[in-house]
This record gives sequence, C-alpha cells and structure tokens, in this order.
Amino acid sequence: MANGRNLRETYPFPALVGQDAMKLALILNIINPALGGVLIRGEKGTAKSTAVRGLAELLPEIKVVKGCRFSCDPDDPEGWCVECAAGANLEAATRKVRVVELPIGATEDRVLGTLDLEGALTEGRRRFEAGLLAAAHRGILYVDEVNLLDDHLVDVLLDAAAMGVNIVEREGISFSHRAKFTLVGTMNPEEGELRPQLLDRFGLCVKVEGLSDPAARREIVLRRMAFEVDPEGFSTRWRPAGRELTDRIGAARKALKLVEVPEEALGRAVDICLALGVDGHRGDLTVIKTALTLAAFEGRTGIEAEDVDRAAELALPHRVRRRPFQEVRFHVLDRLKEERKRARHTEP
Amino acid sequence: MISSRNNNGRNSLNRLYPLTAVVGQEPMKTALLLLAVDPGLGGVLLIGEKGTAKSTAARALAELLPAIPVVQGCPFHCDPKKTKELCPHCLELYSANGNPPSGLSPAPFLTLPLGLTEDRLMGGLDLELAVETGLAELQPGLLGQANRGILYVDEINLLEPYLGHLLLDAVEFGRVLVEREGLSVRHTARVALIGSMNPEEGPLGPQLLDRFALAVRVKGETDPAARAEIIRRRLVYEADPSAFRRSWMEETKTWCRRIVAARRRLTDTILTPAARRLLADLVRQTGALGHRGDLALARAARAKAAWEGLAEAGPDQVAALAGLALDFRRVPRKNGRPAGSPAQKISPPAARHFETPYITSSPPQLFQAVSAGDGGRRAEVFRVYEPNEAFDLLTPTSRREQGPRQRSGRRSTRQAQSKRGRYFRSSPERLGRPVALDATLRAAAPYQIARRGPDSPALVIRQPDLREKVFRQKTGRLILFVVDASGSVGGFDRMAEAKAAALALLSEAYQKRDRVGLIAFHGSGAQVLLPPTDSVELARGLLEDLPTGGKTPLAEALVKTHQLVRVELARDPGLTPLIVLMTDGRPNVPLTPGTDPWRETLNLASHLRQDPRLRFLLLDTDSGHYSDYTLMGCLAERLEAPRLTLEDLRHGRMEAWLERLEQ
Repeated sequence: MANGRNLRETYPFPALVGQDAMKLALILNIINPALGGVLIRGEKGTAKSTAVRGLAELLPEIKVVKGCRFSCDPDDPEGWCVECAAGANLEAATRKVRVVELPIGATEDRVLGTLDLEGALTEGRRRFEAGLLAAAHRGILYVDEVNLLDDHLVDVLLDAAAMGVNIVEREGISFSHRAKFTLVGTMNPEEGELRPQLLDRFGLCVKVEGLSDPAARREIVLRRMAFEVDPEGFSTRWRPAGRELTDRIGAARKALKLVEVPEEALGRAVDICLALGVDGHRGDLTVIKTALTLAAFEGRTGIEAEDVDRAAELALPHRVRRRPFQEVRFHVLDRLKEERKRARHTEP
Repeated sequence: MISSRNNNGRNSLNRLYPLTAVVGQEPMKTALLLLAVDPGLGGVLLIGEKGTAKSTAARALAELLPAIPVVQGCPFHCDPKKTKELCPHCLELYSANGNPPSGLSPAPFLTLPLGLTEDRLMGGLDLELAVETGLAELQPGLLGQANRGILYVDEINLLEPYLGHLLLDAVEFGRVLVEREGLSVRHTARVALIGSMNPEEGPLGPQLLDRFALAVRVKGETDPAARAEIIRRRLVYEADPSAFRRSWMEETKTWCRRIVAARRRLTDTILTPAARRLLADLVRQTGALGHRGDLALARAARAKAAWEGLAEAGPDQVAALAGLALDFRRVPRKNGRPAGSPAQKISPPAARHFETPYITSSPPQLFQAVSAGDGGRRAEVFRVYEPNEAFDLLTPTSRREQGPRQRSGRRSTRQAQSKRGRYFRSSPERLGRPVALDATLRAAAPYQIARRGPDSPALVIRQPDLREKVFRQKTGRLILFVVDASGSVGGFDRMAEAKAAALALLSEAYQKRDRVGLIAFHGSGAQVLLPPTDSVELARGLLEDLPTGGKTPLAEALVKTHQLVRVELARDPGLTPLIVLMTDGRPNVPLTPGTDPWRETLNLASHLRQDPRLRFLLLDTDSGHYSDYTLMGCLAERLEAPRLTLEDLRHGRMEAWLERLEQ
C-alpha cells in the first residue's frame, strides 16, 4: 500500500466480496440522495472505507453553475447562492457527484467556511471562504470513524444537516448557502457510540462483519493481492462491471419518480415502526423512501410488502428504541416478531 | 450592503414546509402561533425526541409573522412610532427632520447557528467602513438584526454556555450593550426566542429554561393513520416543494390574517376575574419559583383568547395552557429543599415531564441474581437491569452549562489554554493561541487612515491589534470506576446495590459524554476491564456480568489505577480524572508478600493523592456497622475524598458530593 503508484488507484467497488447490505445501502443512496446517507458499523478491516472510496467511480453526473463555489443547480434559481443570484450570464456545466471527506481532526472553520484571509489583508474586505460543507453540497460527505468526531464538529454538522443550509455567523462573517449532502459515516462501535441526534441523521445503518465463509475469504485475499500487484490492470478488468452498475443506477434514478406507494405499504411501514417503538417520524419516512428506491433499483414500479421489510432492515436498526447503553441491534424483523409474540401473550 | 451580505438561510424561505401542513402536534402549533400573536411572550421551547417536526415547525413560523412598520433601511428594524427605542442612526434622522421615512418590512426571523461567535451575536465593528473612513460604527449582530422578530436556536442545549448567557441577558432586558473594539453602543433588541432540543443530548441550563414562557413536550404521533398521513404529505412535499406549498397557500394566508387580527385585538383583551383565580390556584399547586410562570400563563391566555377571536380570556384559556406554561417550572418535590435555595442551581426545575427518557421511561426493575459456573468454582454473577428510581437525582447542573460567573479554577484555565475545540470569542490577552483574524482586523481597522503610507498594503496591522481565539473544548471528564468484586463485598444485595450505583453514574456519564474506564479487582489480581472509552454500553455490559468472589487485592487495584491514569494524563494534561473507588475496604492480598495490606494501600493512596488533578470518591459498600474504624475512613482521609455509603446514595446525598466536586 505504501507503494506510491497505487495510492491514486482505488479498489473497484464491484470487486468487493460479500458485504451485500453495505453495498446495497450505498447504491440506494446514490440512486436517491433523499435517503439521508448510511452509517456503516463494523470492525476494522472490513472494507468499510474501501467501499466508500470505490463509490466515487459509480457516481452520476450533475448539472452545476459553472464556476460556482456552492455547486448551484442551474435549473433551480430559487435555491441559488447569493453569488449566482447576483450574477449574469451563468453557464451550466456537468461534473461528477463528489465524495468530500471530513477528517475527524478538521477545524470548525474548515468545515463551515471562514473569513478569506487574502481578501481581508489585501483589500480590507470581508469575504467568505467556503468550507467542506460547501464542497459537499449535492454530493457525499464522508466521515471515517464518525464516532470519534469532536463534539463541536458534530454540533455544527447536525445544524447543517438538519435543514440542508449552512448558516455561518462567525468571525465577522454572516453568510449562508445550501449544504445538502448525503452523510456517509463509518465507525467501529467498540471505540464508542454515536450521539443519538447524529445517529438519527443517518438514513440507513448497516453492519459489516468479517466473512466466515472460507471460499469468500480466499477470494478476498486473491483479489486484494491481484489489485496490489497491478492496480491499473485490476481496475481495467473490473471496469465493465462498474459500468454496468452505473447504468443500472442511472436507470433507477430515472425510474424513481414512477414508483408508486400503495396504501398497504404505508400501513406496513407505520405498523413496523410503531411496534418497534421508533422515535419520531423520520424512521417511517425513511423506510418508505428506501422501499421506493429498492423497487426502482430492481426495475419495478410498485412497492411490495417485501420491499418494506427489507427497507426496515436497513432503515431501522439504529432507530429502534434501546435501553440505556444497549447496543444497536440488527435483524430488525426478528425483533419485530419477538415484540409481536410478546404482545400476543400479554393480551388476554 | 448588510442585507445583501446577510441572508442567514433566508434563501431557503421559499422551501419551508408550511406549518399548516404539519399533522397533529396541536400543543406545539398552539405555542408557536401564540408567540406570533404576542412576541412579547418572550420565548417558546420545543422539547422532544428526534424527528418530530420540531425544527420544521419552528422555521415555518417565519412565513406567518405579520409585516412590521419600520424606519426604511434601518438594520435594526426600528419602529418609527416608538421614538424612545430608536437606534442612534434613526434617532439622528428623527431629530433632524421629524419622522424618518418608514415602510413595511417582513418581521425578522433569524437562525442562530451553533458555530456562532460572540461578535456575530452582539455585533461588532463595521470593518469596511472603518478601513475606509476611520469611523467606528456598529454592524449589528444577530440580536440587533432580530429586533422585533424571532431568533431560532436549534439544539439550544448544545449552545456554548457563554453565548447562551449573553443571549439570555439581551433577551431579558430587551437591549444590547456593545463595549468593544472602540465601540460603545446600546440599542434595543426586542427578540423572541424559539428553542428546540432533544433531551437525550443533555439538559438545558435552568437559567435558560426559565426564560421561556411556554415549553412543549413534542412526541411522535402514535395513531397509525396520522403517521401514514405524515409520510404521504412529506413525500408530496419532497417531490415538489413549490407545488406542495402552493396547495397549502390558502390555509397559510388564512392563518396570517388571523394572526394580524389577533394582534390588533390583543391590546384590549383582558383576563377575567375567574381566570385570574384559576391562574393563582394553578401556580400555587405547581410551587414554581418566581413569577415568570404566572406572567407567562396570563399573557399566553390572553394571546389565545385573541387568536380565538374572544374579547376576554377566561378559565378555559388558562386551563388549556397551564401545562405548557407551568409544567417545566415544577419544583421537584423529592428534593425536599426550600424553594429559592442555591440547590436550585443543582437540580433544574425538571418536572417528571422533562426528565430524560433514559432514566425514567423504563419501569424500575428489581435486581435479579443469576448464578453462573466459573471454571468449577462458583462465582456469583449479579445482573442489574436498571438503575433504581432513587438514583435519578443525579442530574446536577451540567458541567458545561454553567454561565461564566460560575466558571472556577481549573475549568477556566483549561479553557484559556486550549487550542482545540470551538472558537466562540476572541481576546486581546496573548497566550500563544491562534490569531483571531476577524477580531485583529477589527482592532486595526480604525487606525488604517492614520497608518496608511504611500506604499503600504491595504491594511497595516501592528502588534497591539493582535487578538487570539478563545476555544472551548467540550470534552467530558474521565471517570474511572475501580470496583471491588471480592467475596467480602459479595453479600448478595450489597453488590447488586453497588452495581446499581455505578450504573446510575454511568447513565450520567453518558449524557455528559464523559469517558469511562473500568478496573475490577478480586481473587489474586486487578484487571483493567475497560480502558477509557466513551462507549458506555461496554462498561454497562461488563459491570452487569462482573463476577464476584475471592480475596481483595486493593493495593494492586490502586497500582493499576495509577498506571492507567498516568497514560491518560500524558495524552491530555488538562484532564481532571475522577476515580470512583467502590470497595468495602478489607484488603487481604499484599503487593509484596509479607507486608501489611492495610499500610500498603494507605501508602499508595498518599502517593496517588500527590497529583492535584485527580479527584476521588469512595463508595463504601460495607453495610456501615464499622463506621470510621475501618480502612475506609483512613483511605478517605488520605485521598481527601468524600466517602459515601450506598445508603447515602439512596437518600440523594450524591448531590452534595457533586456540588463539592465542582468547586
């Protein structure tokens, strides 16, 4: 890995063995950014970060105002930043959706944006220098080891994530811009838990575990070795698979608007959330949106009961009410069966 | 210039989810509407679990606020009719030519972000103007800009306490005083506050809490049909916000008109004598401190009557709002302290209603004993499910919630030296912290005209201009549990009780985001079961399953403690670890064979005590018959530690200890 040559080359996403839940959750978020991101929980060495970095290859293109620091959407004048709103002759350009990494040691001014030093010193004027939140607008904000993020950074992140706007009122600067991003975080739960409010900001939550199947494990090693020996060759070999997936994602993005939500699906999602004691309404909504996205990904135009169940497995593990200090529990539907069984027993 | 620079998220106004489209949540909607009718109420606090439309609703209020008459172009939105409250600028205009030009302007609705710095809250020097002209003028902060409008603080319980205090002071007196950077300005700031918070993230300081007129406990809908409707509306909204907003426009306009009408009616709305009597009764029952509750309830009842189109507020209005105005001011009775005593600082006026769900939502359960085999020899494993109810007094003022006045000793030193954390204000004191560019520029700006030479750069900065950033780091403290699991403690209920105490402390640590570590000792040795972590879950699991039995190697436990603490202190020298030693004080395994375990333990204790950063708490798990003659007495003396029995804990004496510890 220290080999400078393969520092640039990222391990192709389709070449990852197993970890289907994680891969699915990431793909669904690319198809539908409104899902609200993924929290990936797991031990070290389970390809969490590799998967997120590999994701960049699969991302679709978006239209942006050329030269805009805030990636304004040319088709959405209502949401333009002050600069685009004041500008004339805006040109449109396309670029790939970005993955912006938020390092856990980042400073607050780097995240939120700060006073532009040069403008201040040379002209005596205050200008806003955009930060990571601006860069992540309409893209993915990736936080590796999100549970180790400094508390004050969590606070400002929550603030921005809550309304999709970054409001800066600091260092003599008063500025705001849109900052809607898909939050992707990885964490090793052994190193500490996330704060409840931040946990809730992640749309989906998946667990990755080391694989126990010997054949799969061998395959991981073989592919990894092949990649390290010849990263470019390896990536070339996997390119067709990547393209296929990109096309499928693109088709699903288009199909998303066509998927219908039948009443039964709504009812089922609500039932599940109520039975599991999910706080608030973000859970219900995320289950439905995830089910929608699943159907679109699989080329269907309606949600089935099974979609809702699968969506619940992705959208609810971190929202199910826990007793103090209880760990996040996966296999939400098993839990649901337990709850229902108990409810039947207690009813006379 | 100001308006173009400052949009404070207003470019998202046209995307607001309409308040009229929020399903259910009637108390929340009522409270917000009453604030729109009478901003003089002062504030509304929304407390509730995540994802319950708290901030959606709060923000939606922006479009329901009636427009206000203002002096044109005034950044403070001065009221042309209130000549006594004009800002210096408008006053000048007024004295020069009578009535300044006025017009209608939307009422300000500003969001106060958590990354705020002091200069943007209070206002600071207008840099550009000062550089160009050498004049020192105030550029208003959020408080000035929000004059006659609303300031919204999401996650208000996470607001930096120093800023919270400034905010409070300004809102309380309706004015802002700026004495900084060569400025000396006083201006009106009649600002209504909306705060929202999730109690899982920690409590709100009592001073801030008391400022709110109404507090709403927001809960998720439990009716399946309502929940389904919420999803349906949300999906439609997200697909096309503008179309969704249009479909609710009629209703929103109706509400706007009702608010305008209610405002007009409000001045003539009176409280009937019957309503007054009911109000007095209700307040007496609550036993709330001060008169804020009465005033808030009276005002809110009038606003409600006005909203409902009535000429007077009767008992109905009072009764309907009593919960919102009084519940959160209820004095906890189990505390048993006289009202108004300093103890009030320690236990926030938290009604049952407002206690954190972590502690109270689960029914108290009895301890349950489980036996487990342990390699032939039986070790008893006690399972402790929930901290018992008696321990929920453990919610003292959060260490981070104290206003500047209460900052003392170590804590402020820590703040002064810290180079990490949140930058919230600047200081001219030179301590080698990073330079606060904005403040430095403001300090230098007024002198630019004098300093400017033919070849000088745009800005000439001199040594005395330099300002440094003041940071506050929100790290919790380190709490290290050193737990005696020997056979002598193993008296069945003693151990279960000890664990319950430890779990209660853990619960507290979780909220404060303290880090915890766990060392257990029994049999032949002491073991670090859990190196310091903020995964309190792990600590809980380990504590629950901690087996007991065997001898008491107390000395070794102290050695392990020392080793662990030394590493942690090397990492962060500002740390003041708290060591909770839970034992019955009957060591019987010496470190060096043949020495007296008592003397060894005491020597080690003296050694530990030498580091002034360490704080100790002794939890005596003995049943108390031996009192001071046990080792625990001597140990407490050596460690200068408070010594509490489990009975003390049960009787709520923990508070006194926490109080002492804060000093």
